[in-house]
Amino acid sequence: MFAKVRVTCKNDETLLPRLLRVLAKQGVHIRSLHLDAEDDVLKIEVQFVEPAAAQVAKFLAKQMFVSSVETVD
Amino acid sequence: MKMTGAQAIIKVLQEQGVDTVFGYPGGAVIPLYNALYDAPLKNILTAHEQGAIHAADGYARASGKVGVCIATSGPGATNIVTGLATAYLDSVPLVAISGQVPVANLGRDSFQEIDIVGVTMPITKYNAIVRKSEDLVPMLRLAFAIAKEGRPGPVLVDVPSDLTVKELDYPELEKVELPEVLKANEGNLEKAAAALNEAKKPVLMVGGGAVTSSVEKELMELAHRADLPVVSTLMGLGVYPGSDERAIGLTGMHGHMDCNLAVANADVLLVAGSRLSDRVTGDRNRYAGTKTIIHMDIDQSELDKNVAVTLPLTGDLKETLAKFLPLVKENKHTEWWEQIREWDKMEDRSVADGSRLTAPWVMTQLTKTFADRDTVYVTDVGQNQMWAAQYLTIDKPRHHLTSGGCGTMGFGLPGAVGAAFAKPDSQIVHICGDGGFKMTGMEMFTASRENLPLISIVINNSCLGMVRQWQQLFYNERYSNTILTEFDFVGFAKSCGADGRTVTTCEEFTEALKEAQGRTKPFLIEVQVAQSDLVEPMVAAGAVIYDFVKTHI
Repeated sequence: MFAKVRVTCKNDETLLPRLLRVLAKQGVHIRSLHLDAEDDVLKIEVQFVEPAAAQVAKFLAKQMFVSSVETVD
Repeated sequence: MKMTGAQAIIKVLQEQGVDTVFGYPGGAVIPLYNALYDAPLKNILTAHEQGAIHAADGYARASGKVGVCIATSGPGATNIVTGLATAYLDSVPLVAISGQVPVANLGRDSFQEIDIVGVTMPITKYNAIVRKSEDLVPMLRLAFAIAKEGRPGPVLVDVPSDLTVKELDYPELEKVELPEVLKANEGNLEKAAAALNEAKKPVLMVGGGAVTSSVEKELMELAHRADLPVVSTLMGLGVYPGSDERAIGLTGMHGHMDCNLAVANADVLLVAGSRLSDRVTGDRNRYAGTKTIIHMDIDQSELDKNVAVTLPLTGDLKETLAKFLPLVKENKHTEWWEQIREWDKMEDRSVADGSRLTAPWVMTQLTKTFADRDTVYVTDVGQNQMWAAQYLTIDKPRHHLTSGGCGTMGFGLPGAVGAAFAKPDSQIVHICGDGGFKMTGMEMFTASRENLPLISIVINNSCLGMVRQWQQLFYNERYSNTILTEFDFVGFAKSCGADGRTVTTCEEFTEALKEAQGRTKPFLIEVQVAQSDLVEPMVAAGAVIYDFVKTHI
């Protein structure tokens, strides 16, 4: 089963690696990663093999300058 | 106003109310130290950058303010990594300023260039490198705001050396906007209060988050009104007074029997500001059982992380408890208390009876001796830490400082140095083992040079006691690399300009403790104890919290 989260955050140079570290710490196996940067906003969509998407979303959401995290069915 | 980047850093520190920083100079921060030379700020030069970051951490824990540490690039920056991790895992507000190679040399493996932002990413609440002069002041202001807002934590700002030399226009102070902390769900608040009001066997657990939110009055009111037995995690010690009749003590791997049994048998467990780590829960899959768990925490990612909770309440504890308290009814739990007192009788505390010199007895004597003085205990990690947590009576928050989450041996002495600057009128008592002392013992020189009258209690059992304890209990007594050779602790203290005494009996300890007081320099008491003493009770890692290890077979 795959889970997908959409993260909207500030386009900060440390945020993308930080979010990827968060996923790695949870042992998340990433299946796909898409990102769009527009001025100061970064939109990231990650699909991963992980049943506990809600908890992963919470860890992502607590990072500084993340404005929203949605879990997508 | 025009000034150099280094002068701007000093000005931001002053703007943020910082009067003391802990650091160590080096190539990339020479301009910053040049500005510090005649700045109205005190820089405490430690023996090592690790000492500086732990001292800043001890300062922050004791004062509740943001601790500040300065280190140079490369090895200076990597030397603060353990300290950042220590602060991160215990949610301590720190700002670490690391020097970096000039912007033009970045990415070229220049001399003393380390990607410290990359290195510290997972162990900081936020970190960033400043690449332009105009970003320096806003970034530092942001660092202070992030470090102390919501759930506190360490922030690292990496500053290339050329930016500290260049001139910049110092910007006007602007409010830093950060995301708001979520409020507790009102529906859950009512359900939680109803559950507590109907409980027959309730327990209140206090953790480090309660210390951060300064909710000691609210917890006292709650426990007394609802007649709650109060257990504490290692990080929560002191936020509920240890001498109060409802405080039953430490819970977790080395928790008291009555505490762990009360938690295990509770029908309602109210957790105030704890992440319910493995050291608290033991087997997390068997922790909840059929009980209702009400979990209050500022960090929503802590709810359901380790233990599935029945009623999560996200938000600052101060606000959550303010709404929760009016819903809580007066109650009495006489039978439950009788049961807890029966469990308490099961624990053998004879190790602290004074029939011989032991670490637990030393803790009881420290409590008795300093009962009337504002005393901050700063412990290291290992057996000394657990004996302190079990046998000291801590009555106020921020009076028991320890590395709980990271378990950093060597935290104690530099942490005590920081606490001494935060609380100059308090007695600072540093407690450590012989192994931990050797890790950062050079900070005894710092303490002595700064005329800090701290008392350093070295529990010397000539071994790495906690590892040895595990080797005895779980590794067939194969004491691999844990038995330590003789070391002259008092001679070492004297070489640092301090003083000290070795004690081998209870009488000698009592005399030495008298001698240690009222000084203007540190005093070290080496307490020689038996190697065979174990920290008891003990629950094996991953076992259910009432499955105590049988140590006297």
